[in-house]
Amino acid sequence: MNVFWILPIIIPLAGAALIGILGKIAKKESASWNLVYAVIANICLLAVLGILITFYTSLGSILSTELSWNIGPDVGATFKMDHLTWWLVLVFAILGSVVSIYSIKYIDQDDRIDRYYLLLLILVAGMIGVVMSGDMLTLFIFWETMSIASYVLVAFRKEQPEPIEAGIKYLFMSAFGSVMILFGMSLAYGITGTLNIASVGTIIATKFASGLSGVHYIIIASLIIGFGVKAAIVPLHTWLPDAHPAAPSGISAMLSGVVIMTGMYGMIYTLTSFFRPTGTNIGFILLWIAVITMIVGNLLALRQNDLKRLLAFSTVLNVGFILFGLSMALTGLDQDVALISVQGGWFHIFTHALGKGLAFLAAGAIIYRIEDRGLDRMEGIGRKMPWTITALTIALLSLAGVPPLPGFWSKLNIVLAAVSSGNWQYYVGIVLFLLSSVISVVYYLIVLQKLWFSEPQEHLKDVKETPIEILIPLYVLVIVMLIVSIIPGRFEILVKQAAEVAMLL
Amino acid sequence: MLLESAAIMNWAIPFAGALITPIIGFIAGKLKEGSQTQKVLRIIRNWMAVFTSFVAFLFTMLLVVDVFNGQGGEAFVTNWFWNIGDKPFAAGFGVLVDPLTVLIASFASGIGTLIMIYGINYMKDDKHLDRYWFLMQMFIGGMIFLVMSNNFLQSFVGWEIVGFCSYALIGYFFDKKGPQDPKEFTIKEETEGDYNAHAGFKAFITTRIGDVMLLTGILIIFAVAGTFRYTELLSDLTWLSDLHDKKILVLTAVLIFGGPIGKSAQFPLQFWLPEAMAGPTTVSALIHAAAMVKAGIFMVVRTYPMFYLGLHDLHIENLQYYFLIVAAVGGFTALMSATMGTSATELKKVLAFSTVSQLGYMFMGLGVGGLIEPVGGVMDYNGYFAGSFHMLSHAIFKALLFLSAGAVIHAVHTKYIDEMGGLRKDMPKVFWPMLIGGLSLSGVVPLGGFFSKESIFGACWHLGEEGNNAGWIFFAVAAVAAALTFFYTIRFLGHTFGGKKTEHVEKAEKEQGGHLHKTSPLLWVPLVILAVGTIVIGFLAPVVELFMSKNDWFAAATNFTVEAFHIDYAHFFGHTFGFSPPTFWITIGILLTGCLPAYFLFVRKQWDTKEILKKSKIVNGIYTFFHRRWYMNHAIYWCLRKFKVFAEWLYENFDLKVIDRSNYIIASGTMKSGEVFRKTHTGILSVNFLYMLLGAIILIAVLLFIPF
Amino acid sequence: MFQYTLVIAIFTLLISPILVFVLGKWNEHVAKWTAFLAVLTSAIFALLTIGDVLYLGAYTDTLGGFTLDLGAKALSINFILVADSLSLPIAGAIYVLALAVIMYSFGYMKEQKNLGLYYALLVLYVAGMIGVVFAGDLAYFYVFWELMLIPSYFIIANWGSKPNSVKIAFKYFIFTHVGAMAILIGIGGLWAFSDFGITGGALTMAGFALSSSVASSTIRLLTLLFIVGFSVKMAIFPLHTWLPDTHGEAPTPISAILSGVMIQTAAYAVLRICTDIIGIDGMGGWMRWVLIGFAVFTMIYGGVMAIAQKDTKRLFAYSSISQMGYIFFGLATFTAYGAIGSMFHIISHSLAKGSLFMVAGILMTQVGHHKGREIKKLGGLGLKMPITAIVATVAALSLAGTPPLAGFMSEWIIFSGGLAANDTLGIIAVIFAILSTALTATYVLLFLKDVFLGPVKEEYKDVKDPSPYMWIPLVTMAILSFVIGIFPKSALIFITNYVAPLFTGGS
Repeated sequence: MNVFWILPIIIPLAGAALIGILGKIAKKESASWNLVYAVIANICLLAVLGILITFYTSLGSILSTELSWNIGPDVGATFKMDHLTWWLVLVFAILGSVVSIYSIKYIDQDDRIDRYYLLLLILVAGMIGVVMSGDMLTLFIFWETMSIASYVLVAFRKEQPEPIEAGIKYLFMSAFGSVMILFGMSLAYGITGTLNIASVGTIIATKFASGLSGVHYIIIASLIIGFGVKAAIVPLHTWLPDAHPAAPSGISAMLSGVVIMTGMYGMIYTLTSFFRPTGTNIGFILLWIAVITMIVGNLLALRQNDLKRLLAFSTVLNVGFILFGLSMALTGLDQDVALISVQGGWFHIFTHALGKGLAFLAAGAIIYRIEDRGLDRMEGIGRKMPWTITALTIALLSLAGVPPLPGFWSKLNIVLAAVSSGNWQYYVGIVLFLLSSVISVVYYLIVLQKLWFSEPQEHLKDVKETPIEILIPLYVLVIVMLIVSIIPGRFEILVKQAAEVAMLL
Repeated sequence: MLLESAAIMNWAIPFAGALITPIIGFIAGKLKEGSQTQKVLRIIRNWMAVFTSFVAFLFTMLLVVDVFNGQGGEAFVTNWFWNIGDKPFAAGFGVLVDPLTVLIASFASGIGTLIMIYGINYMKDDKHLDRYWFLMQMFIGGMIFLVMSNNFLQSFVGWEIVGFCSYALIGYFFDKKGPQDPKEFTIKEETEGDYNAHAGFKAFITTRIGDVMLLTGILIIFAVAGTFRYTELLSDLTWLSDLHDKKILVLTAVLIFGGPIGKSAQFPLQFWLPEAMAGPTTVSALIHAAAMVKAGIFMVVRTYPMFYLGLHDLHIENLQYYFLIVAAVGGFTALMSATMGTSATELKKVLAFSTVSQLGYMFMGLGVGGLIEPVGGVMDYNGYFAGSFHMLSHAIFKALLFLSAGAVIHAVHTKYIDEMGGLRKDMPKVFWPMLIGGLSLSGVVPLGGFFSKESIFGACWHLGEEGNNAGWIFFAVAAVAAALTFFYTIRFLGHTFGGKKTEHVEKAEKEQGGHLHKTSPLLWVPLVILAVGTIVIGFLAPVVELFMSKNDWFAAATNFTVEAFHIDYAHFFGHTFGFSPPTFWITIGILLTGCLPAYFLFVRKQWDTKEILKKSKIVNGIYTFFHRRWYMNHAIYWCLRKFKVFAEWLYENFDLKVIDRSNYIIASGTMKSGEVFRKTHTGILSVNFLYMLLGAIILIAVLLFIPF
Repeated sequence: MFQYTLVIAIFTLLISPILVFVLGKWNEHVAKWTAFLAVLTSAIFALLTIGDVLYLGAYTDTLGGFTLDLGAKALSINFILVADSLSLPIAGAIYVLALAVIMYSFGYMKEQKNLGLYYALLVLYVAGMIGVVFAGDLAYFYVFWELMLIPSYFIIANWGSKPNSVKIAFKYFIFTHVGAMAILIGIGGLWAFSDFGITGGALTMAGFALSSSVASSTIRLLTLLFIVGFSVKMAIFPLHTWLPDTHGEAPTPISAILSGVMIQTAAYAVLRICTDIIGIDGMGGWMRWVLIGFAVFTMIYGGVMAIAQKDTKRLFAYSSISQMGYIFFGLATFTAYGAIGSMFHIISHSLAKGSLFMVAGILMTQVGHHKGREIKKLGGLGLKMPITAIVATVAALSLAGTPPLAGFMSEWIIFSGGLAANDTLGIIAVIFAILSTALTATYVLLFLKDVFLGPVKEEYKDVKDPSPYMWIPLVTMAILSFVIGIFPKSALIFITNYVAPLFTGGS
């Protein structure tokens, strides 16, 4: 056993423990203590990034390890580190790190800051654990770790009624999802007798070579629904518009940017692992779910006045985009084309995390100043805080898919795949995809023009630019985005390796 | 070499003068107001225009000599455009020296020079002479450029330069009256001439309709023949057969004729020319006599051999419809405008109608000529020559008439013939030239107009004798129009110079200190020169005929020879030329029919015309009908107004309310559906769970029961 | 002969906005001249390629590139800039108008705030257009295509005439973005159906080859996508409604650029992509007639709508729609003449329409911001502002296709393109097309008549010509219009060399 491989999980957890202890020691809230927590959290996440870099050099093949307790094969916990995992952990770490810097200033007025950072680290550790798990049990354990951390973070400002309500809603619905996941996994275990995800696939393929039957479809449905709740596919998305705006903005960025994507990962990873070897074409169902998700997300976002809620709905839209790309893995279409599509999906997770993360952080910066989430109360604020709004503009333009920002490259990737697919469902789908993209531009523009082109309102007269501590993380993300804009090819190579893993190549 | 450079110089020099004019004007404008240098510069500017047109005239005279010597043809051909692969973009830039081009160039520059001289005095009080001289020189240069060109495209360029200059010159006094609703002067017909800006606009747009047709025709020919050059088109006539096979030959020919219809103000585009005299009189003279309207004749004459050969050599019978159309349009216009001329109340307007009418004659001559069969491989030249010759003689006498009219109007400060009278004694230097011009217009022996008009009669008669009944009809039309012409000529001459002085004239005399100002030599000398020209040109007909026969490139390009021309003076009065005894006597008869009633009505004033109009409803009706120009102007304006209303209606109701609205409907529909859909998201946990369960059930159902 | 001149030309435009913006914070005069000089420098560098273009046919700069590894395939994106005998003259037109507009803005925008940002965005906008024209790779083409949109959106929304400008800019953005989406699918399709053996997954325009196994109906569909996408920008009926609004509300210099060159880059792109890269399979057959139908309808419709306008800028906007009909007509005929004429018309139209919009702007500054737009309220200004009147006349006549101005030279070539197909339908189309030049003449002359002619009104007694900053560009463009009209060879020598070989094989 090589413990080094699970360091990405252990380090954040260790950091969380340290912060917890320090929090007990400190007793008192003070700015310097806040800084200490943040630095610890950041060091942990940067350490994860560093480990990732060392991993990358040795990632010739899938690295995996098994923490077995000498009971028998396929019993212990299995961890893996392949390109897909690596890619997602990278995204989590980058965004987590930025959010932890951002939070230094952002939550300095709150109580219980130690717990904030503690939960943040546990959240990240949970997510990393989910993507590193190689067996169903481990996956489920980390899934719950992550979920619980996120429930608490959503309801972090417990003095106010809204976070509490949102957190409870989130908790209930997520719990339903967890149950469904557990149900599906149990069934899978029941028909195969193994917990190892990769083995389940091979066993189903050999055992049920004649075709899938009812129980398989029940498994598929449970997994889609279970992970789909977290991934916020329609109609399982209803918790999202409450939970994301209610959370502190840094946490909103995390939730919208990456936590949702673990749901997507879980769904696609389990489905492909279990059923792709059987040559199933359930991908088309996922395609249409994706299309519905896009449309519904758009319709809900169109008339939003609450900036964070609008961004949350835009996340639903982007979930649709990502699912659109990933769905082709399960369609039985030409493998080369499907690979392109899946690659586009994984890439869009990254570009969306950057764009949406930045958008939420910038929105948070505005809210930090004016303490209001209503767009109509923000009209003309661009004149007052140009740097913040510029960052928001870049984020929204990237989400809108304007070249050469990152969002464009990932959308291009999906478009290329769909056009190459030679399948009418994808042809129709891609038209709807781009139309949805246009409609999303509508509300991004509405936001931009309200912020930029109106005369500043009376109550905004004394608003000042965001403090530099908040601007720095924003512009860190901007710089990352610009790097992606200039050398998307470099990132595509990474994503391609990830996609190959996802396609079980 | 001399030939080439002369053929270029005669348009390049007026152009150069035009370009220098504003520079001199600009410098003069910068100098101190009223300083000596400024005055000198302005005099230089004015006389430079005379000089450039005169130099152009001299160069043209060199070409005349050349043509008489049998030289001529194309020169200075360079590719104006760029090749498309191997295929040349066959739009060369060159000049063509042949009798037709030199003929028009000579009277354009010659008469142009006289008009320039006249203009120096006539326009001396104007403040914006830079513009005036620029446009005048541009106008003459453009006209010569148009005729000297060796291909359609280049001609079209000149065609549009002329069109633009006429637009700008007609609207020269553009600040006179506002561009108001045209409704006003469709009701008060008389004052239309004051709306200079509107008149120019009308001229440009109306001729533009013709230009559109011409350009289409040119381009169709280009598409089929692959060239714009006249000589190439004539030497290889297969394009005619090609077009005929596509069944668009007559259409193309008529499209080409569309340009002349607009430019030379033929029915149905004739209504712009009467307003074109809104500009300074010099401009009217230039438009009506030397340039602009003659461009139309030029284009028909230029294409005449092509279609003639198509009809008679390639035996494409359909082409006779083309010639019939040309003749019919010409004949109808000649007649119609003559009737309008009898009732016009403004001096220049009468002349304008007469121009339209005379141009109709020319087209009639050309159309009729095209129908006459060749004899023994020899092309019949009757119509061709008749049209061209009438163009020349008309140029001279019409310039004369306009310039004299200008002198009269200048003196008495009115343009209405009712308000003039008794000027014969006071303005002899204007009266006599104008009389000569008027008589020539009516076709009185032995003035130029007689010979040229007679040759058209002859052509019609000839056609009739050949057994084509159309000839007789055209002859009749020509005869009636000629009678009307004499009628209105006598009418305006009588009104102007005959009878007693009117109150208005007396008032003008009082204003000018007891008697009318003496006519300046700069005004009357050109008149005299033109009057002499009018007399002489008739007798020079054989020379002109000889000149026109020197069409070497034409002869070389066809099987037809042009030796049908007889220079022999004795033969000139013979049948070939069309001046046969029957037509001669008929002509005399016609002239008397027109002349006598007019003489008694307007010179002797036997009867009071106003009384007649008041008493007789029929006469009054006819008079009003003519006076209102057969209501065609009304009809056009009605259509235009309706068109504008339609455009506005379309804009309001279609573009804004349908197309644009539909975008907004889509947009707001999306927004609305967003609004409605948002209501389903209540945020109530149980409802959310309901959705979730529904979704789960549907998903499971789909997975289990729908095969895919 | 040289190297990296185009790269320098583009990067000058891409980087200088930052400088302009920063300088604008300090001194707006310095900023505006910096903007002018940046575009001028870029133009000079771009012009250095002229020797190579004339003697070698094309000049290419490659500044590396990168590959998107997509599954088993790859999308190679190379930063290739090509100046060939088509892109150079079009770029020339853009540069001329851009320089004119920047100088014009010195006078026009001087009352406005935040000018540093304005000039920075303007230069960036020019960078987008120049990039579109010089792009030798479809991916970069698309990148620059969208780059055109963003700065113009911000300029229109921020400096447009209030209070509608934001709404209108929004409309503009959404319309063009929808078009861009169609283009994006089209580009994706080209990549997907390209012959990877030849292209290696690259979207380089030169040497692009479609796989031979693609069905012709698919190719036609692709072409249609491109054409619909570009039609939005070209404002072909019924996708035109964004244009009058946008041109009407944008600040006048931007209207001039929008109408003068930006919408024509779409026409350029149609030739580049649909005619050149996809070729006869895409645009031949019945499709040509459909396109010709739309083109002819657009030109007449635009003309009729222009006659109904009461506002100068909207009048010219509809006129632009009509003119785009001509350009589209030339392209849709799918003949050498038509294509040459269209490309030539881009140049002549940019001079004429650019001038006319600037004239409208002069009226707005000299007469009054609102009064100066309403045609009915003007009149008799010809004597008060002679320079403006003369320039307006030249531009109007060029637009109406009056020789010897540039507009005529391009128009007749377009029309002979319609006839070169040699069938009756073509003749009918051309008759309608030429008829609409009469329509054009009508509305431009009505404009001249109503604005400059007639008696001078008392209230306009003191109206004068504007400052030289505003008329020098106009006079220059009027002279250019003459020169190009008299020496059409100067433009055709380039355009023909590019276009003619496209058609030697086909029709």
